[in-house]
Amino acid sequence: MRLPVVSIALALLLAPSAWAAGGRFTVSKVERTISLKPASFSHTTLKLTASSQSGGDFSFSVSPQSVGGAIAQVECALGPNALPVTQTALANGIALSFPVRAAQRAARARGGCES
Amino acid sequence: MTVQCELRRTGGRRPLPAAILQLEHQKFLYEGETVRVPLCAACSLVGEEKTTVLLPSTKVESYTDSVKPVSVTGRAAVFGPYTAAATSAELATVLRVHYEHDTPVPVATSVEREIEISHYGNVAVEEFFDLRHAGAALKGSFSRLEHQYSPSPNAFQELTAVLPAEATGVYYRDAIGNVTSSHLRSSAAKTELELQFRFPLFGGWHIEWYQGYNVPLGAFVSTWGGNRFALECDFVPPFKALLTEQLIVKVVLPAGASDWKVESPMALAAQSVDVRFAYLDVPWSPRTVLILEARNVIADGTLPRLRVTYRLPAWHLVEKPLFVMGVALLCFVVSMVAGRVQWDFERASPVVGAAAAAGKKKAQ
Repeated sequence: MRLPVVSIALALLLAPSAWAAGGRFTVSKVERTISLKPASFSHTTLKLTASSQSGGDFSFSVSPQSVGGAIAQVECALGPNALPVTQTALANGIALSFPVRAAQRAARARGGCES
Repeated sequence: MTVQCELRRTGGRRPLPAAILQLEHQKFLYEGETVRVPLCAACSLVGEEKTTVLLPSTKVESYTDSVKPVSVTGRAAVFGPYTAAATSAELATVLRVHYEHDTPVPVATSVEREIEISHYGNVAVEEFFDLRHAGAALKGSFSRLEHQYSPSPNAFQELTAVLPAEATGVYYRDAIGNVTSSHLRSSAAKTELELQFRFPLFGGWHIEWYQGYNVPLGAFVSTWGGNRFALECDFVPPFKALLTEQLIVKVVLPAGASDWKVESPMALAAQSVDVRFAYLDVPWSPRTVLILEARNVIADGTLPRLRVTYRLPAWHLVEKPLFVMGVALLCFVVSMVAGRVQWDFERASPVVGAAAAAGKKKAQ
């Protein structure tokens, strides 16, 4: 019982400093599938496999939209857990970001095996 | 960790050429993303990156091949795999695919849905549509003869609305009479309204019409304990895979409803509140109209339903009948009083008055 308590305490102690550091992600796989079958909109699925030593906000951007248009719906998930996605407008597109540590914690709390 | 994101995007493609003849093939140019995925500054790619574009046809005119490797096999164009981190030039390269796709492209410029709740047992739904064909515009004039011999796959002549199974009293109207025929099919799960157009809709053309139906109160509204109720219904228009650029949903709550709360299935562009009076509504208790506006709504069955909860004390149900009865009673009272009041203010003549007094004495 003592070991989990110690590790949780350490994680809580170290998490804010890691957050402040901005995080560092090693991306091992990026798979993007763009389906153009619906005639009036496109459906993109993006699968990212990454690891992080320090947490922080993970982000990627979409666009540029040469012909105009907008993002109608965005849903991101870490395993079975939905991630709260923040959209930020950029000069050449839109950045999508989500807090990885919080999502990982939520996944562990629900008994998920994602890490 | 493995993160999966699903994005539904509008735009990013346009018909090229922009105008075609009635029986010509329609082609689109997609240029919605960059070839490489722009990851965050704190990310380093150590594995591989690959983008697959799933096309609706095997006929590909051209595609971006400056960032190699690129391959097109059947209906899939594969960009990558890339193993090195993306350079700034690669990140600036837009992914373009020019392909043939003979299909109608229905886009609703605006849709206005009105859902009116009546706690006397009915929910009325009325929907106004302004729909356009966003594909390649028709070059020249429409030939009915050509259309009879070989119908263009790019035009559409009918639309099918999927309504709730409980829908009754279904109707539709259009100003110019282009919606001439319809079929209504009911099953245990749904009601299908098939609308057929006199003139098929070609690229660049548009059509306006409205339709409506009623459902029993219990189909959309449930009790949440006490005097709290919840309306749960579809937020999106009833046509499959339809993109709606501007959607306005008006929820007309029953008179006297208060403490309402909206749970929208998507981010709203605007939300406002109005009031409205219907027939025989009491002047001090108007109906609240919640106006919800959303943009770029895709009806592909993934959005949850709209939920509006509100409080409606039971005495509001008898308010209207009591008010009508009160007004009727007031009319009767006014009529009774008016019948008994002597409206003639002429003074009685003294001679007539004396004769009457004499007659009274004689009788005694």
